[in-house]
Amino acid sequence: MNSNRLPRLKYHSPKTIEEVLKIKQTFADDTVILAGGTDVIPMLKRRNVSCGHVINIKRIRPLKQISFDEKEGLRVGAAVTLREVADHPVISNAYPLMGKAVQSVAYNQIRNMGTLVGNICVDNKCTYFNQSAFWWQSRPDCFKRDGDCCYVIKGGKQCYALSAGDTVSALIALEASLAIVGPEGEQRLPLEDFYTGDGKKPQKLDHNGLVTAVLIPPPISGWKDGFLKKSQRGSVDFAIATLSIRLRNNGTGLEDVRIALNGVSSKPIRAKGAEQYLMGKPLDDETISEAARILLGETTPLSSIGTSVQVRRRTIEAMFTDLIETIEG
Amino acid sequence: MEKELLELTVNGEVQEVAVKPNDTLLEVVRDNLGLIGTKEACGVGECGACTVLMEGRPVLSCLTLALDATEQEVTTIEGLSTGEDLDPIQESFIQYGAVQCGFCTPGMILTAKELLGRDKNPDEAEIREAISGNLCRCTGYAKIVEAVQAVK
Amino acid sequence: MKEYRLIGKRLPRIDARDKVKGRALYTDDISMPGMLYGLILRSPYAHAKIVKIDTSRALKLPGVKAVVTGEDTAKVKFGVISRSRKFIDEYPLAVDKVRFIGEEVAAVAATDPDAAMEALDLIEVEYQELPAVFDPEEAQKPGAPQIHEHAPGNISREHHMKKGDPDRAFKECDLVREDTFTTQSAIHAYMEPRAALASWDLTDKLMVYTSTQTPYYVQQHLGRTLGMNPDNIRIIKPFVGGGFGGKSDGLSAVEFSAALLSKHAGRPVKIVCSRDEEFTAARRKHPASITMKTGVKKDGTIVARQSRAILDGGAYCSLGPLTTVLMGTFQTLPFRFEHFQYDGYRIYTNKPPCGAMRGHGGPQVHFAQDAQLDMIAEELDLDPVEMALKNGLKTGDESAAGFKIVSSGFAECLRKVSEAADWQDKKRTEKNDPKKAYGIGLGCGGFPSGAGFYFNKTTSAHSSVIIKAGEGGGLSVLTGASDIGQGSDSVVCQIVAEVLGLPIEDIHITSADTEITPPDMGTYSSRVTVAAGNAALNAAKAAREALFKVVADKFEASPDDLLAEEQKIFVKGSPEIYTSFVDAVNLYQKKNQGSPLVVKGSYNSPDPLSPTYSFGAYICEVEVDLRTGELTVLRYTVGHDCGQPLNPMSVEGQIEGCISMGMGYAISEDLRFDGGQTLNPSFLGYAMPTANQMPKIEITHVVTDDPHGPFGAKETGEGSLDPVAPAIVNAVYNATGVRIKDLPITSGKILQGLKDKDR
Repeated sequence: MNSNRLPRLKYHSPKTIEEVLKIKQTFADDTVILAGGTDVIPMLKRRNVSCGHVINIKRIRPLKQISFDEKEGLRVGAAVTLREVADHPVISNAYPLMGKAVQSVAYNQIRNMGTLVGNICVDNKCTYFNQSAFWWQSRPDCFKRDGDCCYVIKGGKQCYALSAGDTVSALIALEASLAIVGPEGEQRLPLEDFYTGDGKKPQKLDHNGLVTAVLIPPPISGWKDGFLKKSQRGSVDFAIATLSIRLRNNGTGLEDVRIALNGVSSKPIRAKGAEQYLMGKPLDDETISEAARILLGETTPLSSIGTSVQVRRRTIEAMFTDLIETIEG
Repeated sequence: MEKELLELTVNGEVQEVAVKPNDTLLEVVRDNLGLIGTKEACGVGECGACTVLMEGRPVLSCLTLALDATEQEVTTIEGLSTGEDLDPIQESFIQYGAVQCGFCTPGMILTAKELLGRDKNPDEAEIREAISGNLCRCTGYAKIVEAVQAVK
Repeated sequence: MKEYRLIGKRLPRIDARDKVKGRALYTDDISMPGMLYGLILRSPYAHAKIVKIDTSRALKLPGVKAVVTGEDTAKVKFGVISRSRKFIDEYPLAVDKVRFIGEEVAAVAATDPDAAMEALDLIEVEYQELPAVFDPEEAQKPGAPQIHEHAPGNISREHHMKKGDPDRAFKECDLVREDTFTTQSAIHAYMEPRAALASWDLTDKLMVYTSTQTPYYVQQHLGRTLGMNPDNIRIIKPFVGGGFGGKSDGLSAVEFSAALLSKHAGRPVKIVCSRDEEFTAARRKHPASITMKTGVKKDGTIVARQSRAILDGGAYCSLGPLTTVLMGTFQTLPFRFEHFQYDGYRIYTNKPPCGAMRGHGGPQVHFAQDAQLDMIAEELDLDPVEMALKNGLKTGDESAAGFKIVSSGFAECLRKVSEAADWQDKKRTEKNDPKKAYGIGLGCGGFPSGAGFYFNKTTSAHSSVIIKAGEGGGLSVLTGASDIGQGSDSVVCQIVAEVLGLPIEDIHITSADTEITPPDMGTYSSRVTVAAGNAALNAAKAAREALFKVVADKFEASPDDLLAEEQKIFVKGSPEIYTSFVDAVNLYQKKNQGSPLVVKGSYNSPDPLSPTYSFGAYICEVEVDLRTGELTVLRYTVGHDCGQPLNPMSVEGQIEGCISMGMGYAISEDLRFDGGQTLNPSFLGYAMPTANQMPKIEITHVVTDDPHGPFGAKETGEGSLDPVAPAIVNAVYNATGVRIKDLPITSGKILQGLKDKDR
């Protein structure tokens, strides 16, 4: 035993979604959802979150399921692990982009534990915020700890913790949405609209709501896609950037394109400007570099430990060029 | 704080243990069951030393609540081979000099064991990717990779 | 080279079986009845007066059995280099003042982990914050906060050395270069966090299990700080999960607090550090700023070196006073300098104390040295390998710091690696891809095989080994040498088995239990193979002599004509007439009134600096993405001279481990600070290499028969680190034309360098 001990807590392991909602209503924001635990448990150990009630959702059968329908598309339950997603034949056949993104998350053990929905709902990361209770005794609290400063952007007026989910860019490019269940029933929310851009509360989910699944439209033929993650030490580290591109090329120019980026600022980015620019154009070197320039203009990369803003910008640019080249092969 | 009685299946044996809700599986296998082969080197899921197999898959016991481990097959390093016997991968780690201080070894072996279970002949890149979450500070991983590759 | 039965063979480690089964017991794996959980309270301030500590609320918490602070101690300072009073500057629990964030202020012990955690929060410490200083240059200025009363200007140690007349010599040189190099804060990151389990018996004797490299020093320093006779303290080193210099300080607050809490509670107490505590408060490597001036002739002959190093020491001495010296002396390996001058200054700052880390000052200065020699070679249009060959120390030379080279395979290392790596061709690789560039670079090293002195005053030999024969043909070997994962237990057994003609399984080793084993300096300074190995060799020879004497009498032969092989003792040439080893032991006992066969062997370095030196030459190949600055290390080709490798597999393991640690040092590992606060106290933040980052490694053993090493062996555990980082730095230059003078090499620095170059 050492000072990494978890705080005292109450453990709930409901069998149904209704039970989850009831527990959430009773204890309000004193609850936290436990699926893979790979994000929540370290945060609890470091006292980054304080809550008395942990709700395990792994025993809720419907949340453990992956289902696929040619009309409806793919539905991945909130307790499905990244490994289960990667191993699923429908994903490797029909959604290779997702397969690649899932394989880029952290490492083996984390993928066996962590869930896809967990990766979507992963809290924004910050060199400062994600420190131990002891560490925080040495300085005033930041925005994310209910204080009134940001250490990432000195003088910043809000929290600039980084949006970190490695799968998010791929899911946005695939036009995924979330099924969120609350006291008023199930609601669908496009994934792109799920993120607030405020590092302190990065996702639109109130304490009564539960993300039960991620939904991905059926694959349409004619699209090509690709995914890239760059980080200091392979998948193990949080990304310098993750980039997903889907496109349809009719030989003379692009008919359609989706570009999404994550890991670079406080929310994922759908690069609509670059998309618009590329429409109808052939993919020559000049077009690609201009698109990369527009893409950079749509992002405001943050620095993080080991990665300067400059490195992040140059990396995004190079990733974009390399990925387009790989897709066009 | 009240302890709860929990049924755990560890290394094929069903055991009843009294745990607190904030006990991790790591703490329970080490302190309650005396299975000290599972190591804690970081406690926050960044090194792989506490790796155990759950339903045959490598997971981090430091990030697993003990209460979450019920109704699942848990295998620790002690369950990989019985008595004086060794699993071929353990033998290979010895013969190829893959063990130095030994602190990462149990987690490393369990991670590699699962890889070999799903892929009899992994190439070097696959081995390195599979164990990339298991930090080792002594070996530079070279002899570990050799040892895994040598298992037939 | 002579062929041996066991020496030079790829033998599995004797403890590997226990380790792969998860049975090897490390400190945290040991429990005692009634044992309490201990935790340490640390300072959140970089510099502050302790006005008051109130432990009453913590003590009232159910389950809490003891709380201790500096006020409960004898207020005796410690310092591992205890030969000089100046270096004894640290209380094991803070008294009156704290000097870095993470300094140990109090400790608690409780029956329950949660109670221990909550008790920490209930200890009320009133601090009065003091101005702090974090930069060694700032710390030397007039008016800077004074961290210790005894050290005006915050100078913890200065060291000056001079040979010849560099100033005059520079005037006669064809080229003189002066550059400043800086290095970052790096840390051991051994996998097993520090831990200690202490218990007292009713005769006031203390027993401590601890994760240490130096049990004998822990015994001495615990005795001092607890105000008791060290002989009443038993230190047991169980299996240790790595140290790399981070567990060689002689004492830590972990051991001390466990002992004191246990005394107060009357029950055993175990304290285990969290990883966070390790990164925040444990010892680390010195960041340094090194200004190096080197003068050469145009044929590449090095003539003179003048250098000045500023070491950021952190808040206490630790082993830093020695580091200050070594950053001078280690520059004199592996090259000759006719004229040499070094001025080193270790400065106190309000940061965690820096001490010894693998290579101990070597990695910092070798980075500077090899990078600068690479620049010089380019300016003179010389090949770096040729230039190294011209200047390398040879057998019989003495380095500028007085290191007497009794065996050197340096030239052979250089020749072999340049051939194996195809150096001549590859260094001319065309650079015409706008996206990616390939580069190749050389790093060189040399390292002492153990210091020839203790850090405290003692008349003990540097290493001693006792051998006791059993009646079943086995031998008990007692050694104070501490196996921390490097494999010294295996080496000692191998040597004894070789000498006595026994299988290694018949050698039963007990290592590093101060009650049982003879004193030993411990595991540091790359000394164990040579010192403990020689002590084992001497003890084994003494055992052989005693047995040969009785067997010779029986066979009416001369002891000189006997051989011990395959558990038998026989006359050379007549193996069919033999006495079994067991019978020989029994014969010995009969002839000696039943007295058991117990012998001992000791070793002292014949030279106060070191008995001998290892050498190495490493070639590194890299690829750089010119758009992003991303650096990929492709391959290392290694030539290392560790004399006769006793176990090539273990030697390779040390080299491969050094490449991983050195690569981390070169490209990613960096403890970052904001003032006195560590910004990345975690494995994720510290970013040491993972399996999928490691390059291909090709090793050539350059065998020299060292006159002082056991069976001709020298060190390999630290010297192998020195060339790793400069080889990458030089390869990055070869690839990009960007000269990195400030470690680590980040993508940002490469990008900046490319930009500056274009300007």
